[in-house]
Amino acid sequence: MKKMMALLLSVVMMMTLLTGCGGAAAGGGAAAGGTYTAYVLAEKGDTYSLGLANNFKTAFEANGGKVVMETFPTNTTNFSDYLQKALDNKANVIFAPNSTTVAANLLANANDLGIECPIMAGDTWESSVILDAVAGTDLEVYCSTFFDESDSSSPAAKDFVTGFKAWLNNNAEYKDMNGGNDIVAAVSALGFDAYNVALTAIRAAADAKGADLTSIDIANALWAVNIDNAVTGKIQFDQNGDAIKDSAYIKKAGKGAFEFMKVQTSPNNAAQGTPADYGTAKGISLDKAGKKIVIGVYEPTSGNNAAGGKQEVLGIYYANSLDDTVTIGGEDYKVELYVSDNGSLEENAVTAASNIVGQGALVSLGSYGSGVSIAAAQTFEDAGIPAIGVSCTNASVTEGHNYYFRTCFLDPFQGSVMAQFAWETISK
Amino acid sequence: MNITSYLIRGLATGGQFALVAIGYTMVYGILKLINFAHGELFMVSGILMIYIVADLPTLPIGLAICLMAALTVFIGFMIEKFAYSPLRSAPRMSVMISAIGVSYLLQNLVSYITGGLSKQFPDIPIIGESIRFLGIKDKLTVFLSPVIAIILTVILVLIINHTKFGMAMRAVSKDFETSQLMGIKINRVISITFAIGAFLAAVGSVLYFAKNTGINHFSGANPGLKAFIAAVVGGIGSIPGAVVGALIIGVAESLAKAFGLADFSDVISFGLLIIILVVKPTGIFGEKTTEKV
Repeated sequence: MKKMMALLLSVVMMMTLLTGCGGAAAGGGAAAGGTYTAYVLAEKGDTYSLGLANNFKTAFEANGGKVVMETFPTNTTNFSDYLQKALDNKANVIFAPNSTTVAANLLANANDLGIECPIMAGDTWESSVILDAVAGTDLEVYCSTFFDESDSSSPAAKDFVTGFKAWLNNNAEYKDMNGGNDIVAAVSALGFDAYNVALTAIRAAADAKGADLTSIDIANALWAVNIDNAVTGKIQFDQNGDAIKDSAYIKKAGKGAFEFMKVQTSPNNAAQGTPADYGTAKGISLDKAGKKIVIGVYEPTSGNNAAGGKQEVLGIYYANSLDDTVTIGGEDYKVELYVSDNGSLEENAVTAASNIVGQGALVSLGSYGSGVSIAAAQTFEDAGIPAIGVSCTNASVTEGHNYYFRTCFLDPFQGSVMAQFAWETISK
Repeated sequence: MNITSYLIRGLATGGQFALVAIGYTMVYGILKLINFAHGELFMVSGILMIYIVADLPTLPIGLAICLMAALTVFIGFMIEKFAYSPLRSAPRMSVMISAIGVSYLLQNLVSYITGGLSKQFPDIPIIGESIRFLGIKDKLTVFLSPVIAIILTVILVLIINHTKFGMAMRAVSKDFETSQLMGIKINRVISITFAIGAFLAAVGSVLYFAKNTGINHFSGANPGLKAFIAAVVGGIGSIPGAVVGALIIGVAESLAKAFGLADFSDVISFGLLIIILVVKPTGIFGEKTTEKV
């Protein structure tokens, strides 16, 4: 008891002392010395988070800004001390490209601390979790994304949005998977496109090889894919297997919905790639006896990224419901989807990818999340199956992986676009 | 840099961990068992609160908290009855493994019920309000946590030192078999020990989750681990030790972040654990057996 009282006393004394010399809390102040400060917060061991944070840092510093970057361990739930760091550094903007699970706590803490500067993140934050967290607060939250449902400039996008909403509203189970509403997530649009890219390549391979086609022929055909009117814009792969994109949509989390802010463009001069050298790889042959084509869907339907993973799966399901038959050599082959859950965890990647290989899939789609995609790349390569990443934005997904393609933009692009947008917003 | 804000938030986290740490330390004092399921019980009480508020929207929040605390105590009691009590004469390692089993069982059960998604803790009036104090803006729970933790600890220590039941607890912790021979109903003492631990975990969970509102099935892992470290640093078996240990861990982690060592905040807690174990294996308050429970 005496020891406890002594401790209590010393704590009170220490606090009195420090309050005497400590300054008042800072707010998102004006630029110090003519430059702006960004506070960047990333999760340790999260490939997506760290990659995007570093890309933002490089681009923001190139503009002449100052960046204070910190990382936190997985399963952190209290971000007050980190956000206090942003206040102490008089940050003009906070960039926190993290999972939505992290965001729920981070945004609640930011509101408690009275953070006034804009908080920005990447494509993962386009989620109802963020809208819930922002509801009833004065927080200014922005994210970049691949697609906007109110974009009426393209007829393909318009058709997709109308059709997809009707499809969701007719299927209670699917609507539930979408978070209980019919808001069209950007990843659903990308999933839809990825499926159609796969089918285009399968048809091209069938035209060239007939029923003798293998997954290697599909991989070769992917390099030549050229779709002008996909939902998320033109799709063509560069030498790395990345879709050549030059714009990102910036959205603001508003009351119950995301408000479209602007299309932020950045030139992309990449040219269409030429087929990689697949050597003597055999790949997987067409299932002539079963008259079916299996497409693997390698996505997280559980774990931290389950919400986004499910929305991506929905886009793929919808595409499959519209177009599920390929005619090869005069015979109809039914396209079947095989969903393999990677649980949002890299340690599950090889098992989940091997299950897809075991099902005799000719192509694999996904995953949501870069880390799990990278971790599965070798398994798909060993089996000779091309994989089409849907929304995995880390550069390493396709780098050095000849079998990995993707339909979205990359983190270096997204990071620089967000840094540019952050700079424009705070210097206004 | 405003050090006060880090200190206050550190003490808050420390106070919340302290309430969990007392549960670890009391059970250890009586049964010599490290109850690994205690961190998960803390998480379960947070989840219970969410479902109570969602399913009984007309219930006043004060009653909802009481109901949640009562259910948590009941679960704590049942865990002891079904997972530990049948193993009373088994080797200590078996009980420990049973505790690990209960911990995974609770985690998976919650994951099954919530679908693995993060759920939002309801707004708690008063302690959930944002206030400005000493130049720091944060929820009231942050400023109250260490105070509540210390008040509850003082009450608990008074109960243990000045009541007949407290005497029975002290006797059981001193010598299990002799106290049984002297007529103490040890099963009752053990049950009540678990109930007190569960009640404090429930109070801790309200204070903790009112601030950190997103809860999923892993939310008990980190607080549980930190509370366990706190109990060891303070001297496992000692109640004031658990509180002091938790406050030290909370403040040390917060200060680490203040001084730009955010990347090392976990390293500092575990480093502290190792240093204490090397320098004073019984922990800070370890030798004072009179306060052991």
